[in-house]
Amino acid sequence: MEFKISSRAKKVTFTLMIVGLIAMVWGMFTEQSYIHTKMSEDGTQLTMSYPTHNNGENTDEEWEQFKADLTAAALSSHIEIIEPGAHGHGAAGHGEEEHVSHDDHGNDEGHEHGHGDDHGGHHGHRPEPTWTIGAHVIHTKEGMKAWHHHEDQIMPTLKAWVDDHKVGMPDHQHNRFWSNLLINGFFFFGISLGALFYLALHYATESGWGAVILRIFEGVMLVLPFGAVVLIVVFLAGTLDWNHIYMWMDDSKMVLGESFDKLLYQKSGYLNEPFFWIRTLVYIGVFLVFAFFFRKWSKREDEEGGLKLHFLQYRRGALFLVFFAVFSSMLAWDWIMSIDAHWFSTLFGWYVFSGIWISAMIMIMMTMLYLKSRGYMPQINQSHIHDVGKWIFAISFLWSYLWFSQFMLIWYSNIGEEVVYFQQRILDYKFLFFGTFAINFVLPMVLLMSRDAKRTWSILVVISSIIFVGHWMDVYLMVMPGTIMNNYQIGALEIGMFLLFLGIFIFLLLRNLTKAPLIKKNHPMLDESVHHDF
Amino acid sequence: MADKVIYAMYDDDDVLKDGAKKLVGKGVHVADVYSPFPIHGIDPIIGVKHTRLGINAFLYGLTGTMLALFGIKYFMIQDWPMNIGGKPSFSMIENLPSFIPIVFEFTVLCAAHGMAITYLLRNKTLPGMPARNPDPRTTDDKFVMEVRVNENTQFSEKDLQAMIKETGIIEIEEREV
Repeated sequence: MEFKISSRAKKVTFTLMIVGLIAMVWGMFTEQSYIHTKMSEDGTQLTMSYPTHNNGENTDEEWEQFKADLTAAALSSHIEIIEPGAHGHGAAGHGEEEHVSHDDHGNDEGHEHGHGDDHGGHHGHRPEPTWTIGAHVIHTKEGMKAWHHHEDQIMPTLKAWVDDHKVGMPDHQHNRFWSNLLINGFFFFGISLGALFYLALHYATESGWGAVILRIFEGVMLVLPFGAVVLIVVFLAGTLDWNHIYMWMDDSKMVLGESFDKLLYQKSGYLNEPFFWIRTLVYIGVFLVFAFFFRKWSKREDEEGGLKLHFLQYRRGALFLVFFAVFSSMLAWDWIMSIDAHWFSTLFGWYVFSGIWISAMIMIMMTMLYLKSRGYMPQINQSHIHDVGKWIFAISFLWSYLWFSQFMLIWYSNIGEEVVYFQQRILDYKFLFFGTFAINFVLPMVLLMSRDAKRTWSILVVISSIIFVGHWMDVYLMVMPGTIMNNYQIGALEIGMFLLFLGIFIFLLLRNLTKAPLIKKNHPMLDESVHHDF
Repeated sequence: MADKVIYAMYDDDDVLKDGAKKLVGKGVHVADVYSPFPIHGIDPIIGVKHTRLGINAFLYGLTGTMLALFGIKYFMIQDWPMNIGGKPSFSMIENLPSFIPIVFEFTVLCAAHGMAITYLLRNKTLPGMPARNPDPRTTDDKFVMEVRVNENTQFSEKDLQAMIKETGIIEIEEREV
């Protein structure tokens, strides 16, 4: 049966894209530069500094504007900001910053990293603008009423305003934008890659049950170029110094001097731009070639029939798995783990791979249910849906197992250079970090365990949608702490770009489905698959 | 009350399946089927209820999790507080990650053993118990369908036998139980 994109599906995907695009562009204007805040030990003074060598594009006027904004915001909440001995404290603050940037790599890595982008060569010459303030309540009726018994909350409130971007400076470098582009590019690339992997696995194991849904796998797999292009744009921008996602791409860390980084220098045999590009292009090239040929053979099989093409795909499927076994780990190191280039974890590749796999299975499940609810593919029965549901259930466990193995071993051994990755995530992202794990693990475990649940569409749709977002969040947590540290937000930019990518992905997926019959005609195990029942 | 049971023997599982379909279609209640291997798709035909072993497994697993957590809390935190991984916090929640592997193993242990023992008890196949299958050949290459007469009172015994004989059996036997 031929599939046609209904006008409703078109409307929905285009609405997703347009709403996403508008939200994303609007979000780009709300991006803010990173301002470091530090409370004095007695809690009476707050020191704010603006690391110029991180994103040195903010002008002094903007810094003064920030000060004025904070003062005005405080005034409207009946707080007066005072600058105790402005000159003397300014010098002290400067000394403190010196100390921070000379901190050892072990404990302050994230900090170091985010600051690690030399821009315009004024690093080390222009002192970091630092502003130390105290504050007290204005003695008016309203002021006394508002802060009565809460005087100790004044400084934390001011700190929270700066940390939560209520007051800040615009970010001209679009750090959040680039990080989001990497997150979404990788997440949606991963979905296609997961489908390609599962297609190859299906052929290599000579499975029969899924023969009727193989065209859906092909449809998801063929969106691969979309994610690949986005990733290449991000890497290209990194190479051209438009973004600073990959700290090891910074040449100044390779020469002896102030920003020399010994660890990165020692890793530069592997982590250097030419070799990185060779690897990236090889991964993407190999994936695209396999995807192209699987589709070509599958279409030709429709016309020719016979076993020759089936066994060809069987052999090529096995060959692909060999490539995939190596590349899936390596691409995770290169594209994701190298954001935190000082840190390393041996099972990171599998952890990323399991996330890729489950996102792909969710996308396939949703496509199956959508097509079936629109009356296409009557050959799909409850047993097929149950089987894909089992995969979602099982891979959730695989993902949780790998997540926990990585976390527990590093947490237990407590070695500085390893634990820094989790330290950053727990200090700044505690709720998101553990919340994501809890949802992605507990929800499918409890609610998808029973046989009936895996055959109930409503449960499948709800849980799949939630953990789909959960695994997007997982990628978010792999990228964000390394690129913009605690300067993160989940706002219009994040949500908008996710919706934009989702809309494009679904549209491309549906368009791929129109280009071939929804059921393979001559797959030798088609009959077995149609009668799949348990 | 004495009951009469008809045992019909087949030498092919597909013939048995088709026969069972026909009989059930006519309204006969098939009590059970004995087979050397699981016959896919026979359960819904003869109306065998879904096994509740899975629910049992979940409950046994939950018991294991709870036991392990309480045990560890007592052994490692209360009775003899341990310094775990160089973090002498002596707090259950802060040390929880290091206990997860043991909790997991104990959960699996309880679920697996509980399930196996329940299965053996429920099927009355504990070691040393007499075999319940009507004919030893059902452990080799024959299949037997069991139809109870007093569950099919709408048919006379004769009709019942006649209907069963039409389904391609190789032997039929009636016993008092």
